Amino acid sequence: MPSVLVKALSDARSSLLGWMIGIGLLTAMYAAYFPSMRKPAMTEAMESYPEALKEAFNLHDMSTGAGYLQGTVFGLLVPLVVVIFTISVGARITATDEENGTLDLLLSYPISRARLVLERCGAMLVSTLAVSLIVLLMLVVVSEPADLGVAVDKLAGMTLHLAMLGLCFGALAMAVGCLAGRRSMVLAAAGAIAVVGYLGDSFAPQIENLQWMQHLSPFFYYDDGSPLKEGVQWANVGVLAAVTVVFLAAGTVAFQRRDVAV
Amino acid sequence: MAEAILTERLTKFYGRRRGLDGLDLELRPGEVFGYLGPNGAGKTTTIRLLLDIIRPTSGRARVLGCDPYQEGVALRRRIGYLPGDFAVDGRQSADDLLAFLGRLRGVPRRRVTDLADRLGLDLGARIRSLSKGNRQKVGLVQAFMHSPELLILDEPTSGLDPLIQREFVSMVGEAKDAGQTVFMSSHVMGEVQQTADRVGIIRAGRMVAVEQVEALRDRSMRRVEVHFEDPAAAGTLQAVPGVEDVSIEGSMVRCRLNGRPDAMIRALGQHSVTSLLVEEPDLEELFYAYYSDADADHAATGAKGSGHSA
Repeated sequence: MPSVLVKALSDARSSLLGWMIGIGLLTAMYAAYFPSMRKPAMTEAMESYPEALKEAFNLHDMSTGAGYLQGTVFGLLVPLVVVIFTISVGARITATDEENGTLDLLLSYPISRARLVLERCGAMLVSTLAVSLIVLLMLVVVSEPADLGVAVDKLAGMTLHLAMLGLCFGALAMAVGCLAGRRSMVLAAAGAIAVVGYLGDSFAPQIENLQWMQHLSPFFYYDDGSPLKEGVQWANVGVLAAVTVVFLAAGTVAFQRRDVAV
Repeated sequence: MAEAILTERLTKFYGRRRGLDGLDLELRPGEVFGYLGPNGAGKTTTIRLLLDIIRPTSGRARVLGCDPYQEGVALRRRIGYLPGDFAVDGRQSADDLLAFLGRLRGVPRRRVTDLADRLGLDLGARIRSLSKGNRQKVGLVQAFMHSPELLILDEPTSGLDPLIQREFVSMVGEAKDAGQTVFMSSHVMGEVQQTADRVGIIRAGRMVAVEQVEALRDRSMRRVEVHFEDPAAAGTLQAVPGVEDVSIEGSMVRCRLNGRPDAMIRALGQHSVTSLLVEEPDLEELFYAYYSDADADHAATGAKGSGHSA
């Protein structure tokens, strides 16, 4: 039985519930606002926005359900909150425990370090799926009354992209924690990469010589190819999954090799 | 049978800071070993090396015949460990934590509740709300629950009240009777002298002495205070073999008793004694006194100027 995985989920249950409620409400409220966006006054106001801003925040197509969701729910706030969530979960895989001195006891038990880390990564996968499914559930519920007009399979596809983005950053946080063993380091490194990654995907493409930069950003693979209109972009999901696996493997190896909590 | 613990020139540096400096340690199976030394001497470093939480800079360690790194998982199944600072996530209840730890070791729940009852631990309480002593009980339960071949206890009795300390002493006694080996660290002799067969003392990352507790006890000095009914009898003890440093104040006599008390008791039997106080031998004082020379020699000959003064 994966005792460590079960224990990690059970320890995090109340915080996970809080995140699910928060992300769920955020999604539902955003999506439910769609009908008022379609009023002509709103459309005019949007048209007066600078093009660069619209480009950066995915605001060019606010009149269709898919375009609206792309610019709002899946634009900035929800992916940002999901990424913050997964980074905090990733930090808890080893760094938080190591810093609090609570890892010694577990390491004296008959479980390998790899098992400890990977079971906790399993718990991270489960909780990332849980917050992602709440997003999907809320959109499905709101879809009809708000007249979003986006098919469920497209919503599910976009949600998969969202989950993979979250996992990618969670794995990054885990890897930094396994390597450095300090929570502050994890938050600083993962946070900085998230911000740079977001900017690299939203603003860099508008500067001619910096367009290549967006290919380094996880956010590029998150929304490239408009999953809300075109469905799951498997190549992009594959890139995010591969990067996630590389982070997990690197973190696990690093953690096995070093002294813990000196 | 192989040694329960064997280290050969085990050395650990944290960067340039010395943790352990060529430690040689040998524990026989079934013995209770007290590992003494001042804070910062390297006791916890030794223990964390034995458990593969940290890795040696040089030298090697074998625990129950296994390599702590290569055979870690199988080895740790046979070890029970109480960390010096028993830190766990305080939001869970003692029951939740012990149920989880029990599952990792395949220990029946019954065994956990029995031990908790014995130590008077309330399993339902959140760990955060427990006193230091009660938290230490949680640590003791998880260390003893699977009756491991080797118990590694880092400062086991810190924070425990005297009643529970007695319970702890009897638990260690039972472990010894059952053939378990106990490796127990402390910075005070009083904690280990009741239970240990041998004590080793570590200073500045080196073992400076290993000694049988029995042998120490035989050599020990006890402080004695006697009140005679008749002040004239106060001089009685002055000529008794083994009695030293006699000081007389009216009808009260203070002295130190070296070795066996037999001769002193015979001498006292001649008189009417209203009160008699014999203190537990202070093995620690003796130990330090006895080895302060050896320690100084060691420091002087220590390689590469590693003879730090303790």
